[in-house]
Amino acid sequence: MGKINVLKRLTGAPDLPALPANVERLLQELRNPDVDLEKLSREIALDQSVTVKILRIVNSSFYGMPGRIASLRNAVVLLGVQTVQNIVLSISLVDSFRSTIFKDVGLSPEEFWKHTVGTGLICQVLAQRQRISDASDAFVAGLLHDIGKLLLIQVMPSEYSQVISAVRNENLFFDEAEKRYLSADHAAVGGWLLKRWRLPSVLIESTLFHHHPMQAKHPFARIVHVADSLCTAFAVDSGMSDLVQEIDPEIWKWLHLSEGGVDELLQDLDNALQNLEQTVTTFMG
Amino acid sequence: MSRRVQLSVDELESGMLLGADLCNHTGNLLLKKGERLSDDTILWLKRLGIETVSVLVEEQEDVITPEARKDIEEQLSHRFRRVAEVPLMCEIRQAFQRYLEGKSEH
Repeated sequence: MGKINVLKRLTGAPDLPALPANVERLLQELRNPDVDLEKLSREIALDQSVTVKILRIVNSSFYGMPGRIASLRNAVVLLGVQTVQNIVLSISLVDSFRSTIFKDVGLSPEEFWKHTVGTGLICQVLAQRQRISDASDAFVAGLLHDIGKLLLIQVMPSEYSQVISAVRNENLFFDEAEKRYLSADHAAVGGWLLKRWRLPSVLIESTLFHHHPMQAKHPFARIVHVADSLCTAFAVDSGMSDLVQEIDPEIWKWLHLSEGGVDELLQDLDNALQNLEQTVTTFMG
Repeated sequence: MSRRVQLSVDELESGMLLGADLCNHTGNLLLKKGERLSDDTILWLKRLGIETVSVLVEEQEDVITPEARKDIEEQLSHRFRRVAEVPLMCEIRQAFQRYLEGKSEH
């Protein structure tokens, strides 16, 4: 039996999830260093549903400022353009897959997002430990890492069900099962979609290389790789596979964990996961 | 068995053992790891504005029931079944075992 040519199927798919046009414009707008906050606030305010969600998220305990941010302008001033951009991106991401039919593959959207949000929360802690760039970027990198699975579920549900069954029944890792049936795995598919969405290369890389992190230039791929595995070890899995994946010892060393401190890290991660349910509800709501 | 915990100065009691070298804000060594705290030392640390201190606490033996321990062990070996032979992953699994056992004691 031949493998399915994934790229051909994706490019031929009639309804690929897209970022809403106003969100794309907004993201572009936010990348402009001379961004005009007033203008930006008005721009986003064009879409009430986006504004309401942004305010709901910035006021959740996730950002440590519950109930104190009343306007979008306020949010940008208090949290920074980068964070607001990430929030917009996260909301749109969850939104663009709202129509994905999970039940055909025996999966609940809550469980799926719980694993990716959990991975994001762990990424944030690890990025802070490593003192790399903006930790809220690391959250998005974690949130995005399995987006390829969603796209595959949406575009070829019956074929991808076979992959999921093989994962569940034969103790396989996803990339092993995908190799059997498809020409490309979920990491490659995810990277392809994010490139199409013209997202920052850091996020494309961290998605594309989360199973082969040493091939990536930016450290986020390494962070996602570790976070994905630890999140599953904390019993926060996607409902498709409960297999903990091997962590590259080089990366463990890079995180300064080979000389100890793992027990303390687990405590920090567990604390970060305390807000999981609430964060998932906020993003999905 | 003892393990290291980070306590706020208000939680310190005399007789506790220091779990790590303690430095002040400018990086000067105040107390060495393993030193036993006295009431005077604790007062001194408070006056210096030290907020948290790493101390060693005695692990209470067998606070967790054997059933609970076995339960955690089974769940972890199930999740770690494909990486059971990998040395680093065994270490990580053991850390999870310690952490989850400690958590179920409280």
